[in-house]
Amino acid sequence: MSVDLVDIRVNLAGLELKNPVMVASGTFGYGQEYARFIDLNQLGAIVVKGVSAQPMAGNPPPRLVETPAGLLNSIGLQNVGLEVFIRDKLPFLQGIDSVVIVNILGHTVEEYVTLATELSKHPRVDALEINISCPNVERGGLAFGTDRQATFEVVQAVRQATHLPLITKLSPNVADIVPIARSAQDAGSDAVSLINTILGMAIDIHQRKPVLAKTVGGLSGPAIKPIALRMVWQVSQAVDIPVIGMGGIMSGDDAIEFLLAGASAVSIGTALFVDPQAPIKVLKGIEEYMKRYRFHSIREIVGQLDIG
Amino acid sequence: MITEVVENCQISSQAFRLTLDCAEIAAKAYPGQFVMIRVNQGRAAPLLRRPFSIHRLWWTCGAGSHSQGQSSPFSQGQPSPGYQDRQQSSPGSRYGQQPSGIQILFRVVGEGTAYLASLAKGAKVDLIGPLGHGFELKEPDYCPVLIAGGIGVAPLLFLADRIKEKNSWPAVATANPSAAEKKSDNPLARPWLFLGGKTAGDILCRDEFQRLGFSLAISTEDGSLGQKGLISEPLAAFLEQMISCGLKPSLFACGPIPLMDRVAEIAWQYRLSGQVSLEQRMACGVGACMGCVVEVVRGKNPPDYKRVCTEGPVFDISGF
Ligand SMILES: Cc1cc2nc3c(=O)[nH]c(=O)nc-3n(C[C@H](O)[C@H](O)[C@H](O)COP(=O)(O)OP(=O)(O)OC[C@H]3O[C@@H](n4cnc5c(N)ncnc54)[C@H](O)[C@@H]3O)c2cc1C
Ligand SMILES: Cc1cc2nc3c(=O)[nH]c(=O)nc-3n(C[C@H](O)[C@H](O)[C@H](O)COP(=O)(O)O)c2cc1C
Ligand code: FES
Repeated sequence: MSVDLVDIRVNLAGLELKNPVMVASGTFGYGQEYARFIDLNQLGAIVVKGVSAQPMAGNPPPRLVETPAGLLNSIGLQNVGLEVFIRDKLPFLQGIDSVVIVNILGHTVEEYVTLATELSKHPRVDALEINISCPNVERGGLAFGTDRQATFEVVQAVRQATHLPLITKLSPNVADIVPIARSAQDAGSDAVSLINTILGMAIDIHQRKPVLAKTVGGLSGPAIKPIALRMVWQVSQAVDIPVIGMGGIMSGDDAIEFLLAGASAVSIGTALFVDPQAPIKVLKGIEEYMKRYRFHSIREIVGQLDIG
Repeated sequence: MITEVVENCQISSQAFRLTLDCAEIAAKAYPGQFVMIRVNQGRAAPLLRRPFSIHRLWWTCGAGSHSQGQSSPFSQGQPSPGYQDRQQSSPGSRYGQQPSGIQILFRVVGEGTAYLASLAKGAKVDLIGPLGHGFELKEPDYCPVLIAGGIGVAPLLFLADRIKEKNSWPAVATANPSAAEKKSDNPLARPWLFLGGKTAGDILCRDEFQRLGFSLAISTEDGSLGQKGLISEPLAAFLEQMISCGLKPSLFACGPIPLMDRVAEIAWQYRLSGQVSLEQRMACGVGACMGCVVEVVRGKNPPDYKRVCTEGPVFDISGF
């Protein structure tokens, strides 16, 4: 094979991705919102905004504030709900030939199961991503993803409800992410994705009030990249299933860091807000790196971190 | 898309008018829409794009079939000092000619706007747009009453250009044509702009509106220009007068939330139609992140949050 030919395809959890660059849930709407600004067919995968069984109104505003090299948000998972998603949002993605992954969220295990069951009936849904950063109302509102047992239970229940490839999206708001990742694997998850946003806050010192109406929010963007990278590295050492890395990726070089740390694919979130073309630029950067260092396939880079 | 600065003019101690060469965006834009401008030159700070209303369209003189100095409804007026080089360009409106770019009017409040203020002619600017749902000019028989608080005047000049283009005044209630005739030169039936601010320096674009034939009512909180107090006070009295003359005012407002609240209250009180342009912090600007919501119709359960970037920034006043 000529050194100029690089194979950017990725086979992940039974999914054939054209390339390793996906877009992160909650930052790309349902796909259509960005169709004016980027060719959706050039994306490895589209992960849509988290869908719940019932529509969710979300948190009161203000929901956003910029912090140094970061974005703090408390959207409160506002979404149209399963029924409207299937009726009004999914048909648009019919014409796109990138992999479509639906991010699901619930307050009870039962809600996750309902979502998995219904979404599995739709051929346009290629995989499910379980957002386990949601409060578990059956356990006093603590997020599923902060507890090994709760993680195991929800992933296992969803596993039994669907034949689709399953990705578990891990929360970084835990003392040790590794046991949670192992629980997801043990319960039958085909891959894990990380990281979700990191809890943070910002204060308006003049009003002596929190900037966000909900006081705390989730931090994303370049500010969280070192933490995301560390967690991707830790998790990829500990599990056998593929890892999808995200958190502050702005460039091809950032993406390469995640691949070297052990991610098989990467997701672009906050960078889209800065530049809607960011995923395509990240992909170009990856290709340039491959050519420069004569890598023929993405697989050759994954986990190639030399720790001496 | 990458555009180029044609001109960046300081028009008050804190306000600038930036002209950008972007025919593609200008061709699609309508009043009330906005653009998201990148203010970080590829670095991580400030991270997010900043939203700015489209203040006005801009034409290159001599472009297309029009010769240099071709008069437009706008350029018949006197240029204000230090504003635009009339030999090269003109903002406002031109019949049948494609605009070459847009202007934005902004106030320096932080890092992003300070960066925009520093841009010189020829500098590259990365913007996306036009975005959002703007003003609708649908009723033919209304008298437009524009209301701006501070920098909220920015989108209203583009709207005023469109109103002028449609030449929809003097406008009167159609129910009674003979009464209408009588009132055709009633100054109340002219298009009006109610312009308020904290202090004289906040009152922008007076000349531009006057040249378009708008009558102006001005107030400042410190009394340094126009009437002392809030602009909503003379507005209520004025609307009452208009209505008693058989005129049908329609309100178009942009400014701080307390002013918008007051305008909505007045509209409700007199059963007037109208539209308000709202602001909220934004991340994506395209409807994807759900970050920029406002509760347009308050007190619903569950709350009905609408995205300023897509369902707005302009909302119908009746719901507000
Ligand atoms: C649809 C829309 C249209 C706009 N049009 C114009 C315009 O035509 N001209 C203009 O000058 N400005 C306009 N703005 C406001 C403009 O986007 C902000 O002033 C700008 O983002 C400030 O950026 P900065 O980096 O200079 O300030 P920052 O450092 O980001 O902020 C400075 C201060 O302003 C506060 N702030 C910033 N944005 C907001 C907000 N949206 N709501 C409440 N507080 C805020 C910050 O908390 C901080 O205290 C518009 C906003 C929206 C949403
Ligand atoms: C505005 C916003 C909304 C988000 N919504 C979701 C969501 O619904 N479900 C989810 O699993 N993650 C959600 N996320 C997390 C992102 O998918 C991603 O994990 C995180 O932002 C880190 O990546 P980034 O730094 O590239 O943005 C959201 C992030 C942002 C900024
Ligand atoms: S700014 Fe993202 S939805 Fe409006």
